[in-house]
Amino acid sequence: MSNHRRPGLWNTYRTSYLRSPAWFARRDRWFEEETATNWPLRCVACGQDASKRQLELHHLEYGPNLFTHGVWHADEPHEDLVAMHPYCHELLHRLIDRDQILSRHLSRRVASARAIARLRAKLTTLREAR
Amino acid sequence: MSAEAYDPDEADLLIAQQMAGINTADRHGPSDPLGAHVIDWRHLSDSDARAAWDSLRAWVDWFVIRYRIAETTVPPCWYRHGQLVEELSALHVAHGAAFDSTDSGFGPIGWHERLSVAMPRLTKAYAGGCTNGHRDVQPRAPITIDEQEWDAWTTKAHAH
Repeated sequence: MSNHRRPGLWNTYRTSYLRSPAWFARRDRWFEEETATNWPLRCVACGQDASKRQLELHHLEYGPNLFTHGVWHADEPHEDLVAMHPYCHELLHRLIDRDQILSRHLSRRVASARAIARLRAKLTTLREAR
Repeated sequence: MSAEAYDPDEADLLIAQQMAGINTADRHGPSDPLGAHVIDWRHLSDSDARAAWDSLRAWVDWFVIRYRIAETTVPPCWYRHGQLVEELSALHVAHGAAFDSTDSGFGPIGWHERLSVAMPRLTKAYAGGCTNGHRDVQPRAPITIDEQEWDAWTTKAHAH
């Protein structure tokens, strides 16, 4: 098991799926679903309100993204995606990459949840100390 | 930060001050929130130098006592030995990340494993000579290359 980021050259997920029309449509749909809850959009790591344009989505699971007949299909359940600032998202991956337990010994969902919780605690503390 | 004592809480406050200027849209921002305040000595500006030196000094003061590092490895004039500064700074940054609250628990043992590998390098980085006060190490001569030869050489890959 590995939750490490793979180099881009061998990572069709990053180089192909995340650039596919299916993913962009799924992304738009996720923000529509989230907005419909009437909760403000915010980054799950730093907890700050943000707009759709300021956020990107982190996969807690690589769901049933099917690549059939040369086309990607994006059907991730809503709860498998969380919104984050690009910087907070990057910090999440740096944390998982450097941490043996998060990167090797836990499922992606559990590792992500723990990393997000730690990041949230840290970023909240730092923000309150300003 | 005072050089007298290494205080993690004070380090957190410093990080908090730095966080105020962080752009959440920039994914290439620093790893300070993960406990890693990386110093690139090669590109460090004079305006940032004092804080970097003070922070490293406080950590080195703690490190040499805690790990009983001999003066033959880290002398009082360590800061005047560039190679030693680079090695100590790398250990300092890694220590901050390993013992940060975001770590799962393998960080400290990982840091100690790296420390055992770094110790021979530390000894080699200084190599003695300052027992009776600092003595400037003769710097190696800068590389000089004939520009014409360089231009001719760099027209090909020389790889096959």
